[in-house]
Amino acid sequence: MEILAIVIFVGTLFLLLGLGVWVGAALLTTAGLGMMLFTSRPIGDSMALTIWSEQSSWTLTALPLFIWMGEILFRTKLSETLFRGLAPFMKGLPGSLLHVNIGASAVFAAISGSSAATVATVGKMSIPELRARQYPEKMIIGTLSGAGTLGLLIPPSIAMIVFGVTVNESISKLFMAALIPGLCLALCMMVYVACWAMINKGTFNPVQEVDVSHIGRRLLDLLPVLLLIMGVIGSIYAGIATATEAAALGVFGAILLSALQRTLTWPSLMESIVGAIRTNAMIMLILMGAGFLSLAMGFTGIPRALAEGIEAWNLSPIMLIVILTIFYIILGCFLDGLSSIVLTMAVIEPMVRAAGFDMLWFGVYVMIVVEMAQITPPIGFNLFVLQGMTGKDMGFISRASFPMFRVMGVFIVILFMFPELATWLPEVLSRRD
Amino acid sequence: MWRSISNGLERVYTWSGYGAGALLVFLCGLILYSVLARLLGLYLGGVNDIAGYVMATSTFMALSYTFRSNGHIRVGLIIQRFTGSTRRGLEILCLSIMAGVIWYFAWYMGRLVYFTYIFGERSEGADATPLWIPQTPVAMGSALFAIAVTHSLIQALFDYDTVDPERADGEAREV
Repeated sequence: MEILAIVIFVGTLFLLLGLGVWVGAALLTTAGLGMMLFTSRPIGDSMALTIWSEQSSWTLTALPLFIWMGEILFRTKLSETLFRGLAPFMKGLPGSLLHVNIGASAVFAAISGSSAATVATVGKMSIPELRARQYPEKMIIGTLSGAGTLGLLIPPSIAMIVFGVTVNESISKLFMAALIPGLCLALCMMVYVACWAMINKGTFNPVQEVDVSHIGRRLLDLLPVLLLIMGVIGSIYAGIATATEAAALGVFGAILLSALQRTLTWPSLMESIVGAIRTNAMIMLILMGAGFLSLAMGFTGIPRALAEGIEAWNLSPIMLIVILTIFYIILGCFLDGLSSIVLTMAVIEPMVRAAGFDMLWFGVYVMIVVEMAQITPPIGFNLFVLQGMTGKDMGFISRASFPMFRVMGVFIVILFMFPELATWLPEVLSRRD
Repeated sequence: MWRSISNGLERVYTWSGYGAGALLVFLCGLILYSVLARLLGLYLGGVNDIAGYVMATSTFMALSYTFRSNGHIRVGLIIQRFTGSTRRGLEILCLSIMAGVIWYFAWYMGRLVYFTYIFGERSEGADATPLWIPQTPVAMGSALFAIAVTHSLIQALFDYDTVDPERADGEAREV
């Protein structure tokens, strides 16, 4: 019975997705079909009620606001400021300006929360600069596509909000859990670049010349951005603002900041709003589908059966994580990150809870696997963005990104061995009250 | 005549999108106001619920506009390999499935509003808003979304040149 149900669900879903039906609609159709076959409950009424309660929930209000904040900052001179401010400091490290790619991506990721936007914005600034200094193309692309994915992990992250809403975990706590792993992963990437530069000392000879005038002035330019990030994340961590309130303050701060930089114009503000409602509607449609699908799945008993099955197999946690990692990477070859999170959580969540994993830790883990999926061909949004920007072919870009893929793989092992990386901060911060 | 209906609808989607944008600004203002009020020690009941309603309305008003401007995502892996009439057939199939399921949802959303109104359900928060008020725009938004999908379907059937995805500059956004 359960096997048949699984085959029908998975078969319909992949058929619809493969045909090219819009993701949200494919999920809704699959869920409706599943309910029709396996329950006698009213389908349409459950659908309307589930979607209404999810779409009007307070937790979700952080999502459109964070998207809007990103859209505003995206239209400021931020990437230029970041590049000019960071370059003089990274110059001395082995691998010099390649670190700017990673550092700027990490900062930009934090504020935009979006991975494709990070690659596009940081890349627009840094690709020409690094090319002019004769950095190898392979490393320029690799660091950009790899570090661009940090947007999923470093808070405030939009994908993390989606995960939190899907599995009913506190978004504030998830944001706390993701900070240290996010920074560590950025650090791992930098260590990799430094090692690479030292090994290839003979052939790696970029032009070292960097404009180091007015360092004080440039740092001053960076200050408002850093203050904004610290204000947004800090107010959540300090427990004085909910995720939604921090997001609204972030929007306010972003508007102030772009006024300060004199990039705030009426058309750019309007564009940011239109951009925000489009991205929001896109994500919400997928969420609607996912919400209804997990309800339908629940009725069929598949998630419970799978969770019991996993328990009966007595898989060690490490085996489960290995299997899940492979599963997500394969799924990520065909689906975008967000869809693969919401699509699978209905089934994976009970299984993971039954296996005794901490959901905060698991959220961080899922973000990293999905980040890996962002840079695996044939569907990897960062790859598409870079293809458009550099004019190189997909094969070259994928190969250039592969070292970063491996770095993330290594980091998953580290995260597994030291789960405190994710669980320590939320514990410390919530013990206070 | 068809053209003028089509253009008229296009304007409705766009205005609906602007409405969604205005509500997003309002949502942000509302939250900022509640933060301010809390700092000043004022009591504001039900802001959380109202924020949720504003967001839902904004989202549903934006759905049709987003659809018509290619903002929703799909897996293009297979469909992109086809051109000409095969591609057209696949597009029509996808649009039919989508139109069917969205109409189905819109119908039941309308029914939900009707029953909420009949039974006089109110929100459980401090505001005790009659729920049919925030639900009505959501139902209307879903109906407009269904109309937008049907609009694209009819264009794909009878006026394919206007929606031919091989010519349009497709846009894929991702977070």
